[in-house]
Amino acid sequence: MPRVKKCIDVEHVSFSYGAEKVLDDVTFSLAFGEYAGIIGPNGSGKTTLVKIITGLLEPQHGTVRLFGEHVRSFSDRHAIGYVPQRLSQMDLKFPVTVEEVVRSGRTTQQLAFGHFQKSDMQAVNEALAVTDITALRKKLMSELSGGQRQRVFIARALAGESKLLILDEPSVGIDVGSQERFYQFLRHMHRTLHMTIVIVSHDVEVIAHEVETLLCLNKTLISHGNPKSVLTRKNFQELYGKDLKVVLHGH
Amino acid sequence: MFDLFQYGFIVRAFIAGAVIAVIAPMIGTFLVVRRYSLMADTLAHVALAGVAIGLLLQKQPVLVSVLFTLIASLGIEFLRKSGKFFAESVLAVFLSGSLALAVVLISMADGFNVDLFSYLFGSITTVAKSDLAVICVLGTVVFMAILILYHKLFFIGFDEEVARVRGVNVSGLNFALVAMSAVTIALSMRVVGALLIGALMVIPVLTAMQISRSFRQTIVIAVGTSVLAVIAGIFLSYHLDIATGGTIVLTAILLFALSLVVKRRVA
Repeated sequence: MPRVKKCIDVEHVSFSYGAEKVLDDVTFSLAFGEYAGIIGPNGSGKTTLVKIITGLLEPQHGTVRLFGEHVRSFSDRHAIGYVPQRLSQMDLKFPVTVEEVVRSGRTTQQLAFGHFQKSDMQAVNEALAVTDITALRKKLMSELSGGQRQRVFIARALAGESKLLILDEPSVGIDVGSQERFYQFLRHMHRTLHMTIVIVSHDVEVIAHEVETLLCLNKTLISHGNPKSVLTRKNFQELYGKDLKVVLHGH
Repeated sequence: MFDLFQYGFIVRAFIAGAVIAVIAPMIGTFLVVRRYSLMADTLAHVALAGVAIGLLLQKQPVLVSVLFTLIASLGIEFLRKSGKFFAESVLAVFLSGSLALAVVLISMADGFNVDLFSYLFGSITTVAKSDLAVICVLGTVVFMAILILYHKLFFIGFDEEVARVRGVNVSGLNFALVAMSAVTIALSMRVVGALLIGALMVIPVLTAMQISRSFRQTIVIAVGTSVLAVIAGIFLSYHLDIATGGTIVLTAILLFALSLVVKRRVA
């Protein structure tokens, strides 16, 4: 039977930092257009898994395929929109505008001699519009709030015409009110652009009622499925070693 | 006031100075963003050792220095990339090692100490025609390379991890940036001097950062400030008969101080 092409296909992935095993035989796949969350306690290997999926780290065992291609030889890299855990490595003391950051998302699509074309600027304008930050385009990054900066980094990913968006702890440093708006915006984007979105978070309650698929990770993949079926007392004990219960709120 | 242009060496100094004034802060902007500022000083010491080799071999010192600094810069980047050493310690080894090599070479061949002094602190009287040709050709190459790589250097400067994910050749660009820095520094020694070129790469950038409203504007203002400092520095050093390199850097510092005042007024 022919293999069905998945957006992300992780097979028997293991990874160690020296003698310390961080990921042990992790296997899962995500379909195109899926909205997924990865949860787990600190040190459970969430960020390491994301770095392996994006090709920043190479697993000692196992394989990762993106869009059906092995991640090492995956050529269509601008299809990956990645927003790392820290609010980027960007030094905010340096004057850099929102538009310049968003435009950098087009860097790999540039033609020879590094000039942006009309189509590049069109993609930038659309990304600014979708993320609702057109009015901020000439603002310096240092003048924005945490939530606005996250939107800029997502706009950068969209400008590059990403089909897969991976956000590592996107709500860190954002106040509760902005978080609500931020997740609303992601839901809207998922619905309208049909992107595959993966959010990594330690905030179980928030993520669980946002996503369609939840992966519980604690070095191994404890459970994988829709949030209601995954968030059982048994899984929680395996994840956090505590007898906790999550109440899921609907929207 | 403009009678100085009747002298060929002054015209050469102005042309060489203008080329250096444009490319030094352009490269410097990316070094500052990447927190590579110490790289400029390290490469300046390496360039000095290159000059000493050139003088010893009685070959063209500027060209020998460019080649030597280029090779050393690739070695620095290779060791930094290996991850086996702290980045700063690699720079420290190359900085002191190059200075030690320069001192040993100087002691081996008496007689070029005076000439070497001009490479340390810069001298407008020493830009030979052959130096000017090398400075103009390689300066143009560096300028064009920055224009072509501008967006990629910007991307890795502000978000190396994301750039890597998106398929940007980060290692290759780092090598290119360090190599361009090496060439710029080696070319700058005749005008500003090895010990002061780091300042010309960094101070105009800091000046621009106080008043600019974008990354691109930062580069434009930094280049403008640098050109102003170099031209004013050469004028002053000629009329007051004082050291060229030092005058240029002091002018750049004065402009930096002015930018701080302007920023405070605006705020």
